[in-house]
Amino acid sequence: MPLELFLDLYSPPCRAIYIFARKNGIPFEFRPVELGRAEHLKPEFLKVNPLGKVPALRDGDFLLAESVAILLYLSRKYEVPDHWYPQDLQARARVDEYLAWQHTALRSSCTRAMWQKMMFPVFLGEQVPPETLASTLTELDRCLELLEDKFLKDKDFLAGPHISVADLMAITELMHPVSAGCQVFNSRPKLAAWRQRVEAAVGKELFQEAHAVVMKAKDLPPADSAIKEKLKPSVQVLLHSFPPDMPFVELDTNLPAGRVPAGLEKRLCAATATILSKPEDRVNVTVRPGLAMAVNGSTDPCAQLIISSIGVVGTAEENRGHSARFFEFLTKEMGLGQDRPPRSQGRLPGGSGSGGKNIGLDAWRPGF
Amino acid sequence: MVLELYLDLLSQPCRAVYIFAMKNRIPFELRTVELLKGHLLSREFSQINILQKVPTLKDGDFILTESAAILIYLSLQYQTADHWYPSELRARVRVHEYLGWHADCIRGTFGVPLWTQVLAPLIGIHVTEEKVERNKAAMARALQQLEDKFLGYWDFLNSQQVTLADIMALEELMQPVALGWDLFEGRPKLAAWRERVEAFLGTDLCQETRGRILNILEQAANKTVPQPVPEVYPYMLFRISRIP
Repeated sequence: MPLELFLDLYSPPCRAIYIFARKNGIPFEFRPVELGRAEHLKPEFLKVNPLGKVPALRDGDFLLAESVAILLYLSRKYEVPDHWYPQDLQARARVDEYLAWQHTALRSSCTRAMWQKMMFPVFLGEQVPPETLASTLTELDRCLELLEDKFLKDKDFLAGPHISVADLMAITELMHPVSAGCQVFNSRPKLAAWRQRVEAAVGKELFQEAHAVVMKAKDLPPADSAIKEKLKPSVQVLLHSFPPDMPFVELDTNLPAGRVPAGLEKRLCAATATILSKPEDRVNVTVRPGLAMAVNGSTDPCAQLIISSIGVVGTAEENRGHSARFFEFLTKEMGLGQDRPPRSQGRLPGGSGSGGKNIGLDAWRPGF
Repeated sequence: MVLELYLDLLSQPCRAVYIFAMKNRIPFELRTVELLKGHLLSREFSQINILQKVPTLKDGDFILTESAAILIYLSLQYQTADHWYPSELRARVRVHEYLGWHADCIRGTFGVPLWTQVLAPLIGIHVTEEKVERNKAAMARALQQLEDKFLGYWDFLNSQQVTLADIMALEELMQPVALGWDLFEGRPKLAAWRERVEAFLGTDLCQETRGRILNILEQAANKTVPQPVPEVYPYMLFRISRIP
């Protein structure tokens, strides 16, 4: 019995495996599993992969799921050129590292970007809130930055000087949002150059053949209601994740609690919602009175406001505008006089994918 | 130059790496980095790992992130007993098959209770009941698949002997257990698997590794959990917003 690969070329990992097997001349039988017809949920396929996912492999009596497992199996069994999945410990560790990272980072944002921009509206007839899409695209952008800065750096390929399975997994993943019209490579010359190299290494014809189906996804006819019902539960998660901004506001002051206007936190919440144009129920406010604070060496009454907001916040110009409005609000509430002009500071704290910007406002002194 | 492992033992993948290194007597220097104290954001650590995440391995000039990659590297570099990451191809790819599914269905899911019950409240955030319920359902589904597809009739995951898969899985499951969720209740098969893994690793090693997470609720009640430094708030917010 020949090797069978159960694939749907709509799926990025399936494309990676298809390209890999074809490029290396691995003989296999292509078993199409049409995700758009929910074939991955049918009993016949579940016998091959009870997890109900593609890609899947059957080699005689051996059944295997999960793209990374399949790529490793094919690499070793068919003894492909070493550079695809090197034997050298440190070289292969670089491949393993990328393959582990992409699971929880790039894969997620590419899939959601493509689905939210195209598949939900076109195929499932469901509108996606613009804030959700915007937040997903921002996240995709952050992943691309990490891809360039942490993995690619100045190398020709992700794991070293030669193409490996890491590059195949990455490129097929990135083509997903490209198929939905997202500009992934246009403003990233380094990534675009890498793409050219990968395509050249794989062969333009094979690359295009593998992507023919997904590049036509925008022309898909809408799914009928039976299919929609079947697919909805598993694709709902592609809508849910990562809601829009959760602005987080902290007001620290050395004024004792009794001197802080009652209900300030509620009003600050409402003001934040207005100033940042965010839903009030997503704003978090903490007011800390009675702190021991010294500003510029003085312990006179003062207050400090810090606003953290992940995701899309705005330009420096917009932040300065926000700062001014917060300052105005606090001046009225707390009877404060301004000691120095408020300044905005942009800061990109760490944590993978987090792009928080702190609008740090300077401390005030009250006018009394 | 000695091997360095940068770990925060509150983190599940860090514990898996720690347990593996200790069980196999791999000589290393433990570099404890605590997320809540902002250590991951320090310039010093950022130079080691630009992603500012743990676990991170440093072997001379060679720096490696991602727990799966680290475990594989350690097993090959230190030539640990074959069962951990079998040399036989089919057995080996079964470990990868588990790790692939683990990345999708376990990672990110079982860590949620620590965030909702301890970490989010530390910065004044309340995660909605709806999300807690959704996470509970996701954990239940994952546990069912773990039992049916990966444990099946084996003693361990996809195998008759302990592999890297088992320690990755178990440390994830211990996270909600430490938060008071009895995941093994009503799941005798999984409970038996857990016992076998822990018997193999040794109770002392398990206790030592899980010291910080096992009494986290007590720490939270006594207010002895480190108050997060402001620099980590954005990361914490981001992580909390990722809870579906």
